[in-house]
Amino acid sequence: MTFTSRGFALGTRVLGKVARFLPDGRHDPLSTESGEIGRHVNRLDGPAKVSGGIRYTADHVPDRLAYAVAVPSTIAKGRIVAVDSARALSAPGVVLVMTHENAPPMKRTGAYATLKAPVGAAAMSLPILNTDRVYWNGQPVAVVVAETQEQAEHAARLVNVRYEPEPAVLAMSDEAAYTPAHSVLEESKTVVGDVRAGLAGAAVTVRAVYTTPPEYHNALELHATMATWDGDDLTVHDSSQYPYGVKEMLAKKFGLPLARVHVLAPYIGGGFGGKTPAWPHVALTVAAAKLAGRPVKLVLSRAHTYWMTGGRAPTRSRIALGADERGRLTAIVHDALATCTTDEFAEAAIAASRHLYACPSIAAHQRVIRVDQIQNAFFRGPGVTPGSFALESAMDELAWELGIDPLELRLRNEPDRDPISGRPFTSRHLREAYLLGADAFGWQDRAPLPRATRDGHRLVGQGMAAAINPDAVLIAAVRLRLSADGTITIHSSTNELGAGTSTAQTQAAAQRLGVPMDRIRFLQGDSDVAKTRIPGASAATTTLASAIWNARDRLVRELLTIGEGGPLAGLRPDEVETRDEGLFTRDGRGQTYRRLLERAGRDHVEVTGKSAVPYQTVKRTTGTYGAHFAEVQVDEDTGEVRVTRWTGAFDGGRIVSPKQAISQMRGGIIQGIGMALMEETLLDERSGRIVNAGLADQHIPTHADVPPIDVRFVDRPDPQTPLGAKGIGELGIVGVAAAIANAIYHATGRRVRALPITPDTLLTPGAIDGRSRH
Amino acid sequence: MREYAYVRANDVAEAIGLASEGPVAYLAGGTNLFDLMREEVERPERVVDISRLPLSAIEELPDGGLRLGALARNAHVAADDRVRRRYPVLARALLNGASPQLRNRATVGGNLLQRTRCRYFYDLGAACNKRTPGAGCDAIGGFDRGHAILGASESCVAVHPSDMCVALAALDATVNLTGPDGDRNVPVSDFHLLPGETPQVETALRKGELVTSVDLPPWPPVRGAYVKVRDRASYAFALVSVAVLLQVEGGRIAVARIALGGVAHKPWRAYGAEELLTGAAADEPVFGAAAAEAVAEARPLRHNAFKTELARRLIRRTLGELS
Repeated sequence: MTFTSRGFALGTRVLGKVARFLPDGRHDPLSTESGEIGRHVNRLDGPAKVSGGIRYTADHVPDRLAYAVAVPSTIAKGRIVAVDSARALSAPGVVLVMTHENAPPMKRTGAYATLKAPVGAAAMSLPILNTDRVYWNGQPVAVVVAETQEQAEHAARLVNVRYEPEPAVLAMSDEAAYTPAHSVLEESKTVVGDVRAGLAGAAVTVRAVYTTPPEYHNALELHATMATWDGDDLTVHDSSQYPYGVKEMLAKKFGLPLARVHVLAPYIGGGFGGKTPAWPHVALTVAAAKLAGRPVKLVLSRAHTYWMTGGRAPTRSRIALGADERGRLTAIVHDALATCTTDEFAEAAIAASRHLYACPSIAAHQRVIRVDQIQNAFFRGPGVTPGSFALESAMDELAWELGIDPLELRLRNEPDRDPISGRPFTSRHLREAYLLGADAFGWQDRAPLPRATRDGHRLVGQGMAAAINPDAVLIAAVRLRLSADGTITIHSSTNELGAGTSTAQTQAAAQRLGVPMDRIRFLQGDSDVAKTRIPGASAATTTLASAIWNARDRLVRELLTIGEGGPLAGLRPDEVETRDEGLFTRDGRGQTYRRLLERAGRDHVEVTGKSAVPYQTVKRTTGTYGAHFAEVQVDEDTGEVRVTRWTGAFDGGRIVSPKQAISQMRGGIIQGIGMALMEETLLDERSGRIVNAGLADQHIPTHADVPPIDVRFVDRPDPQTPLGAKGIGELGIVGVAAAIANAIYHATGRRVRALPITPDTLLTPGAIDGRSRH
Repeated sequence: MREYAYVRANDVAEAIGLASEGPVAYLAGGTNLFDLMREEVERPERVVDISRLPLSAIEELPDGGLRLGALARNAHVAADDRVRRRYPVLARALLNGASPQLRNRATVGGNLLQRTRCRYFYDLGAACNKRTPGAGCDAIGGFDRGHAILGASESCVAVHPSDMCVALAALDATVNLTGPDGDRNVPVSDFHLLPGETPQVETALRKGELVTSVDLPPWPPVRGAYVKVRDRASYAFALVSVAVLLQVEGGRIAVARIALGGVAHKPWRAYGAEELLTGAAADEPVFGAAAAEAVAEARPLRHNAFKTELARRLIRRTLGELS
């Protein structure tokens, strides 16, 4: 995912013209070296996490802390006529009630997710609590601050708000659909070749409509913010994926210099993109703390998570594929529609259709419709995840039409250059992933026809789908401190999303600096370390590795300077290696770090490292790739689907920390199983209210829903990236839903083109395209 | 959450005395009550903690039946040897409910009295006759996929969420009560009520009355099954569930009990189907006819027509498997 402003998008287009003249990525010698990289090590933060040793935002309880609860609107659109706070104010323990009438002014910021603003993390440009307008059902219309959480919750229910409702747009329809100025990643409309001719000349065509519902991240940790003002200095603990962005956003909203805003978020309990933008409660907590004159903490309840933070927009994809009789694609048409809000963040379902297959004609068109709902958000594999359900289901349909094995069909359409831009790939080993996965799964044993295998009441089937996700290298800086005892501390403004970043970076840094892992401390989540723009996008591993690489080079220069007169005298940086806990030439001349610092009489050496500008991602097409192989059992009487076996094989470049990487892929696959079979956010189109606002009704997979998952990696370094690695945080979920739908087809002979595939879906006779249930 | 007074009862009489007036709730496992209190759907001013009362035993009855103490934990009942041997349908139903953590907390009495999971009931921003009589029902015309197909009214289409109660209904269990006016017992099938015009009245329980135990009558050796269809493999309420007891003698059906879950405001006994089965030949056409009879009165809503078909298929298949 590339996080760009409109200006940057234009710049990218200009750069595209000169792309071939840009430099390639610097070759990283570590990408092929063995050592700590590639070792199966346990997660460093694991013991602390399972023993309660990690303090998350909500765990902080400073002196004089007050608790805040936001009041959700009950209409989708209109005006607040009056807010009656009297009863709330007289309830036990209430400190204050903040409404649009007494909230401090907060400057409007560009909405992060819309890409209109290159900086900051605000989720939306709307002036929440600085306006009497209501934009969605569930919008915060007041904030109650009290001495305890329970008192604040109770008093929040006593705030009486009178509204003047207006008609709201709540349903997805074609009528008001339009082409947004930009979509996440790329342009909203792309045409290559002549799809009309491509379809007309095709031996076989498939045309179908696929839908995905609104979905939520359902992170285990609830969104939480705690704000403390000390004069004009603001310290905020926040469950954010993007501490530096929150710092910028709050500085702007409250008119403060950047240096006065300090945001801390070392650990979060799951984000999946939902904690990339800062939702209104973040600024409102800061405003409430200002009014209260004491620290204020706000933890969204689970219900408020659905009402006050956004999820993935629903999508509808019309796909047309054409192929010649040998299965070579002649045309790909993908027209996608998604909901958005005034801030126009498009869930670009067309993304996969542009880059997955070689095809002489491709037409991809993203449209949106504005609705009066909470703004939709990034969610693991934005666009590409719902879009791949459409494309990869259609490819399966094409395979059956052609009578060609679905895996074989994909192998026949594997491109050697990007099908849209014609640019080379930094690396792409999807063919290897297909074969690796198929072999591990035993794909060749699959029955050639649907409905061929039965186990009691249950029909058994296998399906597969491809996975693809863009690979981004973003911007980060780290502070590296070498101490006299030879230990190294690396500070970063990124945080541990739960993916194992700190473990992977410790492995990589240990090898980069030539020290054992236990000499390295990798500390994260402090916005003040350095400007760091990694709000997600699976970009932490490579971006941080780039910054640490740069820090290593600076450290070498610094050590050679202070080592004047010693055994390193006169050596150039490229003549020494960082190994054996020090600097040494190839023939063994040199000194350990400890000795170096001791000789120089230094307590420590500190350097800053910045990530390199990722020109290679403009010059070439970047991506991560994979193949899912699924087995399902479908109870024909009840429509229940159980996933019984899974193999995922992935090209994620060099795998830095295999144990963390395997977990990350498994997590993505599990989330994809949820997407395929159960996850759906229900918005009542009469009121705009999200109805299933709780984990009791918003089902995600339990252990019993998860089969053994076999994860394989091609594990070949990308010659263009730091460590030879690629970002795999999001890749695992992409294609999962299609693999399951395709397996259900193989089991039952029934094609389901609408998610989620709940039991009633398969009990409904006839074609299953549009949604007609709930 | 509103402030409330917490009092612990030392014996049953004291509990009843403490609960005889005002907005009061008994607290046993608390797994449903506290959720509802936090949402302010339940607003007791006094909570009477009965969790330490000596009502958790599982005891033999003189007639060969079994008595389940109201405070017996769901997990204990499901694991009890006598229950597993003599009433396997109940053990299966309990194990199909909630999660291990909840089953460790939840009690027999609390399970009987748990309230519907209708989301409109939970959301104070929505209209609900059960929560505020006369306010209207937002579930009607809304997301009604999980709602009732049998016995619903214009006032309420909510369903009773329990698995345990479906098995108890099939087993002809009896609920033992004590209260200000003394002891009495109510068959479990009469304990829960249909919504009618008063969906806020959910059970036959009178003010201050306390469930003390549930009696399982002695059963001849019958075959039984509890089958539950839900949106995921575990930890989800039933879309439709069915408890079936069947005894076949010489090719004829001697005993048949069918209760459905997830389809009505109460565990739904399919009396018509039972009648049709009793004395009939144990074969597929009879099972099909009984299954059809069980849902003959179904009145599906906008999004739950599948429940009728699902209930029919589950009953037919389960009968076939037990015969």
